[in-house]
Amino acid sequence: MTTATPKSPSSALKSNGIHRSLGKILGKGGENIIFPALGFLAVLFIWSILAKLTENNLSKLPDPVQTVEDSIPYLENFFSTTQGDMGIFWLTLFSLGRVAAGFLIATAIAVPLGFWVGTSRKAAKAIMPLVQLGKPISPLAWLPVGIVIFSTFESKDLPAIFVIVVTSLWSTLINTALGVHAIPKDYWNVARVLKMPKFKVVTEIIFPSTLPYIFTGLRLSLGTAWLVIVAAEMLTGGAGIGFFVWDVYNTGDTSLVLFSLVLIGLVGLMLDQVVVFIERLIVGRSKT
Amino acid sequence: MLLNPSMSGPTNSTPTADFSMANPGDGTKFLSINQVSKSYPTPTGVYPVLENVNLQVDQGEFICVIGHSGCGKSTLLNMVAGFLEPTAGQISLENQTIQEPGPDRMVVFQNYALLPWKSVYENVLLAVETVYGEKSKAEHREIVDQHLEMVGLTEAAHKRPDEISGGMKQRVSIARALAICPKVLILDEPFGALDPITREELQDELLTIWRENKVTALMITHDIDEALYLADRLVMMTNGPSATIGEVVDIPFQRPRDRALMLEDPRYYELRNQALDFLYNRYAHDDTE
Repeated sequence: MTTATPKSPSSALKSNGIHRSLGKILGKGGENIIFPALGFLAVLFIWSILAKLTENNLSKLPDPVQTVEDSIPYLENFFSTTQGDMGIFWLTLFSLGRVAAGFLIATAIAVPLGFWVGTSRKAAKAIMPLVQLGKPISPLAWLPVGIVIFSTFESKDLPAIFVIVVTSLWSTLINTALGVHAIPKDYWNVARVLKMPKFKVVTEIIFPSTLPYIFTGLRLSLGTAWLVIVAAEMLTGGAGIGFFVWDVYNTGDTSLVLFSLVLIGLVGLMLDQVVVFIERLIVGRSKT
Repeated sequence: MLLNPSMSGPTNSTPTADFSMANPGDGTKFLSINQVSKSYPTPTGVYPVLENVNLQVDQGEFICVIGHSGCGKSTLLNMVAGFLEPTAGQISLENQTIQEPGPDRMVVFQNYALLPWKSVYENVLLAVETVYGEKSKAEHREIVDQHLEMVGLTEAAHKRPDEISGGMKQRVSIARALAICPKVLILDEPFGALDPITREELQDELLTIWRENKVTALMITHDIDEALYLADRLVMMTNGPSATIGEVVDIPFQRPRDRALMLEDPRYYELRNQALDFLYNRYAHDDTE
């Protein structure tokens, strides 16, 4: 080994880290590449078979090669801002904007409500039946309600955002309330014996100790919101990735439908990782 | 080590100026538990945990409470802390009836009750700034620093509770409790989860701190030797239901106490046997009751 003396812990750490990552690539690295690749290959294989089977249909499923070929011109168009032929980057961004707006509004409602439900038995009795009733309703069923409520604004965004708000409420609210319930009795007793003002109890005890639960709720909510926005945009129209899928389907560009599906999946994965990253940034410091 | 060759003479007659044991004249005590009963409603009827508990505690006294599990020791101390209300009778501190928890009766919890997302320093600071809202930030910092130093945790101030040992956690808990200058310190089996060596260290520290801060201490323990080493008086409780104080024993050893000398004192064994006899013969734990 090199200069890993006790006086230079940083260099010791560094060489240790290199060793570990090297080990990963050489040892388990093989497994981490081979098996996912096998999975993808299997999907491509089934896809190709399906493409072969629909070859003689009126609308046929393009095979993987065809899909890539058809998508390349569109990829070159990625950042295009031309009206009516907007790049898919912007369309995705519009959809993300709606999700962000709805998700933030829902979080601002659901977290305080979750605290309230978690701390007050009366509030729990008043709100939990509504949650149990509301949660199983498909968020898309709220779309007509949103359209009616916001009809005077003649906006395609507002009903979609409304649907995302409804979508993102439940998991965040339930998990926040659950987190409040899980606060150890000792913490409450500390607050009581110190005669901590209510506001301080929320900021110093309830909020930090429920934070991991809140993040679990947020992750679930955001995941569902991204699922729902695609479907909602198919119905509302307007610029967005969901409407794009519907649009290219109607013009017969099935390759672009498939291309969009991959993109939607990637964005969903990214959203989840962003929440995980933020959680680690904020909550991670309290864990060893 | 604190060496004291003269182990004779009962404690209650030592005229040390540090902690005057009795309040002036009028008979009212510092902490007074009067005819206190506590019962809980259950589906099968009212369950009496404690019945007619009476205890008068002087300012600066160190009281240890001992008894079998389920005898209501914790219930009693929780009522002094104000977490629970007596079903009958009353508890008063300096003639004020205790009705709710307050920082004048600070608790050192069995499981430390430190907030895991806060550092050692921040845990103590939270208590200090909550109780001393009117003081400046600089004063808060000074109080925290001073109390962390007192328990020897200056070095570990910026560690989080899960990065330190159980003994250190309990030190933080003690520092937090004393930083807000309580009149009464309530300790619910504070050293129960610690290894014997750490336990002895913390007992010594607790005694030093108790003497220097002139605080009144009420402590639950399961350990007779711990009680004999720490307490001015040992309160032994009968078994529940309807538990009450069975016997109160004065511990006569002069302070500061020395473990080795105490073990040589014949009275130590008398007291120890008295406590053992109480717990295992006269009030042996009987499940059929």
